[in-house]
Amino acid sequence: MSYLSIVLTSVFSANALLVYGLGACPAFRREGRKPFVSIVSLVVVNLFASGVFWAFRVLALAPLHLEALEAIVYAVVVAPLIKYLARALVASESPFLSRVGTSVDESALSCLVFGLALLIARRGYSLPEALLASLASAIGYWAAIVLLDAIRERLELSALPESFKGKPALLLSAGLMAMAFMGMDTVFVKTIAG
Amino acid sequence: MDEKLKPFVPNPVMGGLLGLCPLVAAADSFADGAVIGLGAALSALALGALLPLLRGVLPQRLRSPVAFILAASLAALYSVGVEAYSPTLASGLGLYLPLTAVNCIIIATLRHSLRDEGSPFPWLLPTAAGYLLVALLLSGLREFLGTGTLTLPSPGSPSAIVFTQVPPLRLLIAPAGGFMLLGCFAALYRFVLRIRGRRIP
Repeated sequence: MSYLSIVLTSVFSANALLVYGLGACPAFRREGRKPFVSIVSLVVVNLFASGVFWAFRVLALAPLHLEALEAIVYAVVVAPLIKYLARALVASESPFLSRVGTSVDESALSCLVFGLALLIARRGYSLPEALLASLASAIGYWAAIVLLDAIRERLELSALPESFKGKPALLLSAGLMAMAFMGMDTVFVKTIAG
Repeated sequence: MDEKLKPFVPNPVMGGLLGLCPLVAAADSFADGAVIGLGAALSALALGALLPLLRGVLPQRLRSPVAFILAASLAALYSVGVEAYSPTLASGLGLYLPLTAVNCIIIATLRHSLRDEGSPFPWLLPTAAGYLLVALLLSGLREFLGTGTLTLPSPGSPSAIVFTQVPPLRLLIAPAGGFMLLGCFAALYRFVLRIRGRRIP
């Protein structure tokens, strides 16, 4: 797969939120997200977790046929390292990095971070490919939640049946968005990007 | 006591939108939904039984990491169990079996059990049962309407009951269909709550 193909696949046809459902719970919650802090923290935590997990899976778990221990390796090695990274960022003097650190700390136990690390490590990528896929997946997830936030604002102003107001309407909208993202399927991406 | 004033635990999926990740992406057959729902419910109940014991043994700062390692160990154990029971089911679910460790139901159980002094079961039992029920209903309906079959989680290779050769709504087995059906479930849940005069979560 070419690098462009990896990026397009990770953002569209294998979007973390709309195709794999990863990080769905926080995406549908109303949170006062700061767009720049959220994209930086998503990229930092996913690059870090995917890199570390890729190394452990490819260099230790797969050669020893211990793939069943993936969840334990994440809990024992990757999650504590994310916590240390978050503490280092929070302790920095920059208020921006401190906010990023707080966000990174909250995402150590999220299914988005573990799910993406698992997904990318299982695809058989090399390390640069894995890091690129992780970066593109984080951007794809961020784009999806920004779109969902925009849709939520429009839905609040719309005349909907009482039972559909709020989360149900947002879930239906996410379904329509997922259809649009899946339209750019893997075969199409491979045809245009190699 | 007036029913409107009675405390109640909202359904974790339709009330709080928790644990959506495997339900929308992986639970596209009844067997998959049963495995996912059962895994989350059993792990949550096991954690609810074990974590209060840790409160008295471990110092405060070690409780959270140890609890998460325990959750990951339960997820690994469950994955191995499913692999032994039915390799077809395990390979179909792929990354969603180890992801049980970070299912929002499990994370909520960790937080609830480590924070509160009392037993977590008054909250945990309806939550785990509610999650399992939604997983079974959602996956069964998705498969029935999406492929016209119902796959049972039998040992070895799952067996499918064929109802119709012409599936009415093939879209439902895709994640997009999962989001849409869950949206309809959530709307129905709110409608029922409104009729009963409950506060909508």
